Amino acid sequence: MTAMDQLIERCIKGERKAQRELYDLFSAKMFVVALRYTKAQQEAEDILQESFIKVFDRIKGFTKKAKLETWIHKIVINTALNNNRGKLYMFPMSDVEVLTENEDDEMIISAYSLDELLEMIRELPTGCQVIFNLFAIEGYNHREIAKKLNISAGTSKSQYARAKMLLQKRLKKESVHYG
Amino acid sequence: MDKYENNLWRSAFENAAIMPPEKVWDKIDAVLANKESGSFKKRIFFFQLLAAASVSLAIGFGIYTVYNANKPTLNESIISDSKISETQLNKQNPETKEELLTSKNEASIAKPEDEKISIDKNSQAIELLKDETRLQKQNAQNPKIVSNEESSIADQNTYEFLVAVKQRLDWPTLKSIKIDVHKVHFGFYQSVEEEKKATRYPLMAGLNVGTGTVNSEPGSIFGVADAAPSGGFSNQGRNQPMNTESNAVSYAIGINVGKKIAPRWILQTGLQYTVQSADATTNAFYEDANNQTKTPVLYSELAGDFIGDLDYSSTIDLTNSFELLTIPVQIGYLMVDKKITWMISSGIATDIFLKNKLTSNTAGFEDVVVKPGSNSPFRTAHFSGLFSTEVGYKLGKHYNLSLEPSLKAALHTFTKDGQSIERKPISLGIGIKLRYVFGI
Repeated sequence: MTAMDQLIERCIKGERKAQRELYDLFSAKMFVVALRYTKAQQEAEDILQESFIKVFDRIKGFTKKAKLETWIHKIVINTALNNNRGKLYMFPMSDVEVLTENEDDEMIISAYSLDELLEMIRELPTGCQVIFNLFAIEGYNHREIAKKLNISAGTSKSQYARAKMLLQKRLKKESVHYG
Repeated sequence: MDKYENNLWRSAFENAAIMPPEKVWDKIDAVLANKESGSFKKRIFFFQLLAAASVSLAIGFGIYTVYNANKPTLNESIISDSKISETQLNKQNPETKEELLTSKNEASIAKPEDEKISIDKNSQAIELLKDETRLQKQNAQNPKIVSNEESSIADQNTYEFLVAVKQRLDWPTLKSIKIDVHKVHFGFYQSVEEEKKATRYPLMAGLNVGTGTVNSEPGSIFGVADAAPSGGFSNQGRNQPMNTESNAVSYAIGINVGKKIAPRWILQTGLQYTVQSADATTNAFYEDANNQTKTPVLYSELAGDFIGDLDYSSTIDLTNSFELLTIPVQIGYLMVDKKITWMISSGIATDIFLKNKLTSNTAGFEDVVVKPGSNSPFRTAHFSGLFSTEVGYKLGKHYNLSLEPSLKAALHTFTKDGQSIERKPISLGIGIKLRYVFGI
């Protein structure tokens, strides 16, 4: 039994110290995930809190087929999507004009810090922000995103295109700003 | 191009990490603690149902027992018959006394369809036969006392009477028996009283050990997790007291005494030393500038007017322990009283507060000891309701080993009147009792 298996077993027994250890192991990475899907830090904190409560509630059912980190990551994403679902319902996403991709507009992001990249994503409109996260960072395809968010694949594509366009604009602005 | 760009974004966030504020964990901790107390409440509800069902059952059995105890038994009917005979005899010529008594006996037994006799044949007659066997053993040298017409049992003990009664059920051999009513009557009662004293109401005494948990739900003495306001627990310079406390674990050792007060009812009491211990954290402390000592404060609500003098630090780890002397008084009903016994009990426990000690597990902070008295925020004595169910096993004639799950709920707050917090602990425990039964 690995140290991680032992930690999981202790969490299943409800040992608070073990739960804290697990939280310490993954909370920093998961906080970034929560921040990517939210606008305000308090919102991200709430998502992180809700996610870890779900983790401790459901850890008994963790099958160990996937890595624990991947499993927790999915819980955080789903919690964030649930959190955004209300907003998406209030501001429904519709197809937007798909822009023609310009090779010159390739996003050069390596020059930016994590905080700057996070800020750019968090400034996107909610629909674009969610779809950009799911497509560009989590690696879901548009069909999967459509299913998850109960929208059409076309809407997902157009929202992603819009997100990309907005980010490119922002990157250009930043590069001009920094000279 | 998408793939390339996406890979850039993905790798930018792949191992990205930002430490969340400590207050996130504090909130998670509080929610988990509330959930635990929720499941504790469910367990308590189960025990409450069990206790209610047990009490109802015990009351039912009690009513049934009392109702049946008021029905005349064969013994009582015989005594009653004897009394009638005696009355009749007194009115009659003393010379006809024997004849009348014999005829009374004849009358009773000549009617085997008589309801009283036929019912008692199945129950009490068996008891009488058992008693006869026992008495025969005691009087082995004189096993046949009643034998012929010339014999008189006037100067014999209950044995003769029981034999006579037994023989009443076997009429042909009884025809010639003569009974001295006065002596038989007296002897029989004496025997019954001795039986009760000797076998039905024994005294018991023994030792018990136990362990349990004391809940951390709000309103409990160990329940202050909900008091944590939002904000960083571990942030330096905060000016709000914050504290958490886990469920307490309790250990107890004691002595117990019990006395049967009715065939199935047992009155119990005892004396028990109990230690309840819980892990706790706080950020509040007093600093004595003169002595350069720092004293942690767990229940900041109890600081009263001095709350403004508190200082705050990062988390101070503590062990909070209470020492109590408990005097339980319980009445128990024996549902099963065979080789294996099962008893349902309820009653009141008086907890005498001996000591509260906050042991600091963080360097630089002093331990705190609170003893009973006017400076203590805790009552010297407080009362709790007790419910328990006890499953025992008789080890030989005198010993009984039993396992006793119990529920104890405070009837009022553990803190003194006028304190700003109320604490009503509810605890679940399990104990082992070893008893010696006297007088069997």
